[in-house]
Parts: sequence; structure tokens; C-alpha cells
Amino acid sequence: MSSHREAPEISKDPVADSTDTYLFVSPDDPTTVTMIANYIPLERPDGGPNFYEFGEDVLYEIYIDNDGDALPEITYQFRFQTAVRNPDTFLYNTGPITSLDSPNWNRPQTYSVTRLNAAGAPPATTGGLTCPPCNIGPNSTPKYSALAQAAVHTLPTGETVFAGQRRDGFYVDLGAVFDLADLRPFQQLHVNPLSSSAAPGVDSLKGVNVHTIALKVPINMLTADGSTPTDVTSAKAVLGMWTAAKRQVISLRYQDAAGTRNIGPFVQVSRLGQPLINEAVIPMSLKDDWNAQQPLNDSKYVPYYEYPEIAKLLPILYPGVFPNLAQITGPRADLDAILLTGIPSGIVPGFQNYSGSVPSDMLRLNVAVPPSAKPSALGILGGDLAGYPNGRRVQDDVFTIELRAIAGATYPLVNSSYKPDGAAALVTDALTPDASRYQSTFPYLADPISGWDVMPAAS
Amino acid sequence: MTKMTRGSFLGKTAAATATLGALLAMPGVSDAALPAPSSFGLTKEELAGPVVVHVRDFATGEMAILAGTREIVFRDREFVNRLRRAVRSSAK
Repeated sequence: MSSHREAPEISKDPVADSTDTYLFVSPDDPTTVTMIANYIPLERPDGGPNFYEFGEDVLYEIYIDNDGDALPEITYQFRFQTAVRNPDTFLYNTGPITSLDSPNWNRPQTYSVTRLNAAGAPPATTGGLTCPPCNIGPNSTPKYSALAQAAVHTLPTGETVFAGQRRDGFYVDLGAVFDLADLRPFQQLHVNPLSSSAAPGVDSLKGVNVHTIALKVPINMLTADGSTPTDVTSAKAVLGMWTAAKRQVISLRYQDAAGTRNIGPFVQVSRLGQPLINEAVIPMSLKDDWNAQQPLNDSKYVPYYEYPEIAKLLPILYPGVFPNLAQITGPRADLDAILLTGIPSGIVPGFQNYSGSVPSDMLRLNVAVPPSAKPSALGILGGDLAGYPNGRRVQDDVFTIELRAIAGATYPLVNSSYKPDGAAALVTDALTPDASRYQSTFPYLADPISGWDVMPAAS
Repeated sequence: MTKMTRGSFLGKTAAATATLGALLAMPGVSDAALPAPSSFGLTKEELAGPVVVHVRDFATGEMAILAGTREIVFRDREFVNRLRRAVRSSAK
């Protein structure tokens, strides 16, 4: 998955588990940038009676680096509080929830947002913001879109914010990927073919929800000089962004009404910038460590980006299909640029998102690139400069883009004599998510699937 | 903070906390060597919640007081040595 259950420790702690991070110029409001941090992987829509919610004991953070030093100049913090309106029922709701203050909704969540600025501006906190309920079904949440829209808030400082359940926008064929990368459209070419013919991919995340924190911020509140850049070549136009979830270092569990008490400073248990990195680039033995680190310290992981394990496996798993990839012996400077520093000027015509020489895992967005009128899910590989790896939009096919890059499709950008294998431009899990997973307005991920509408598991 | 995973930290902390809690409850083990809590600058709110003392290193006497969202690291080798002796005697 993108970063769902990607490391041993965090896979046991879903409410703190970052699943995806997105960063893009808002297509319907291009003077703003939207940042999305998703948590709680693989929510089954019918997972009651204790439906999913954010962790009250988790500190969620979104970081922005606007000067390329791999440190956050701006931080947004999110803390959640949960109430129980009726202590005498086991139910999540005792009737239809028709408003966010409905007495029928038994377990509402509210939250606060705090903006911190490293330049020394005083913290700005807004509290009492309401989340929508989970989407239970037509009897319980009959007008879900209206409930979700009521939970879109404008902060006094100018940002727009939403926190609550949404459709998972990420798509990938998990069963194929983890069964020795036996991609169904190419399974006849696999070292152990399960079929003699190609088959369509299976979208493993089609029927699940996540919990989303979405924040739309005027660009001039994020740039180092308070401007809204229009020059793509300007270093000021590049923003870096990543997310983290933190927990206090000690939990004391009492066997009485005191329950669990958390004590001590917050330490990072999850982080996410680029998709699929801790999932499929960082080795198992370092995944928990990676989640605890800061981007500033990512230089120690550089060998795993430059010599990715997947690039070594593809020629073995698909004999004869990737002969040129098998011949690459040097470090993959193309992957360094895409994933760790941003792409410098002169590599892709009319584009750069270079944030400096510090190798650091974060999404990098050139905000001077306007939203695309005809977005390509393949982003820059598809000729669309507004898509991944220029930030990341909700519909971008990051699995295919990264797979093709690792397979050698982007190596000619740094080595003009290299000829990619024909398969490098074709390899994919061949998924096209249906449009119902997204919406054209904030928070851009669509309403969650209701419990009533849960999709049955494949037989 | 010493860098470690959440799981390893919680595991180690739980063990040290449990041990220290048991020792402080034992007759003959005094907390006289610890500075008074007020000297650590704990607030009334922090003192109202659980306060955990974590022995980080028996060899150097390094300890930490955790209260609220803070961790205050200090050294008291004499106190830690008394804990060590108490651990040994209780193990007999």
C-alpha cells in the first residue's frame, strides 16, 4: 500500500498510522494549496459499533519546509477530543444523525488546529471544530454529504479545514504486489506464471475508507516571503511537505475507571512524505526507525533509494523482460532527484521542484505550476507538470509512476546513453479508479462508503 | 530523548517503572535523595497527574521525571545505587 501498515510497529497502531499524504495546488482555488494527511488504513465501512475515529492521544502534525533546509518553517498541529452523549447505550447512534449536534449521535469528535511558525509568530489555535460522523448507512446518516459539508470549517486565520472519514483515494493491486510482484496484466511473463494470459488488476482499496485531515491554505501563507509565486524557475516557488503522528512516551494502564493515562513528551511514531518509500524502499529492519526520524536525517537511507531492492528483483521475477535494468550498476541519481531533493532545472523542460541538496523525504510542490485542465494520472511521466512528483494529487497513479521510474524509465534523465527496457514504460497494475472516489471541491476525497453499502469481499 | 522505537521504549519504561514503583513502596527505601518536586518546576496540573520516574541508566545514575508532556532528565547516583542495593536485597 502507499503507506498503510508499512512498518511493524505502526501496523499495530492504526489511528496513528499515516496512509497517504497529498499536496497540490487546489484545482478550484489556485491561489491556495491543499494538504491532506490520511490515517487509519483499510477501514471497513461496516466496522461498528465502535466506528473509526481519530486518536485523542495522538498528536497529528503537517509540516511545511519553504526554504529547502529539510526543517519545518510552518507546522499545523491537530488534537482531537471525543464525547459520549448517552452513556447508557452501546450504540454509535440512537436514531438518524441529521446534524452535527444531533443528540442521536452518541460519540462526536471535535478538534483543535494550531499553526506554529518557526519565524516566531505566536501560535494560532482554533478549537471546538466538529468532525462529521462515520457514514453508517441511509437510516443513520441519511444526508451524509450535508453532514460532511457542515464539517468544512474556515479558520479565523484564513485556512479551510476538514477532519473526518473519507473514501481512500489510493489504488493498488495489493494481492498481486505482495505475491512476488505477480502483476496480473503481465502475469504470463512472471517467473512463476499463474496464468498464460494477462488479466486486469484488482483494486484492493476500492471498498475501504480512511480518516482524513485536509487543510487548504493560501499560498502566500506558506511561502518564505509571503508571495504567491508565478515563476516556475524560482526557488521560492517550491514547498516541501510531510506529516507525522506522535504519541507520549509512556502509557499507564489502570485496571479501574482511570483507564489509560499518557505521560511525557510526544515522540514520533509515524511519518509520511513520498508515497511507497517506507513501504517498498526501506528494508524491514529499518522501517520503525525510519518512522521515528526527521527528513533532515534521511541521508543514512540514501543507499536504499539509489540501489532500490525492487530494481534488483524485477529482472529476476520477469526473466528477459528487463535486461537493460539488470545492467545498471551505479547509483540511481534519477531517483535521488525525484524522491530526495526535487528535480533541478534543466531536466524536465519548463519544470523544477528542487529544494536543495539535503536528501530528505518529503513531497515537493512547485506552486507556480497551475492546475492542469486535463490531469494525467501519470503526472509528469504523462506530460502533466501539475501531477506527481510535483506534489501529489488524490488521483495520481503513484504506484505506476514509481514502479516505472524504478524500472528505469527515468534513468535517461541523468544518463542519456541509457536505453530503458520497453517494459519500463508499460509496467503497471493497470487500475483506473472510478470517479466516485474523488470530488472536485475540498476536501477532494469523496464521501466515505456507508456501512450499509459495504462491498462484499471477493469470493 | 534517546532514540528508540515506541515499542522498545514502552517495554523498557514499563519494566523500570514497575520496578521503581515497587521499591518506593518498600520499607527502608527513602526518597530523601530526590530533590523536592518543586525544584523541578512541575506545575500544579503536572503534579495532579501521574508522575513517573524512569531510571535511564543505573551505571551513571541518570533518571528522568515524566509529568504532563515533559521529561526532565537528572542524575542522582547515590539514589540509584540505593535502588540497586534494594533490588539485590529483594532478590534474595
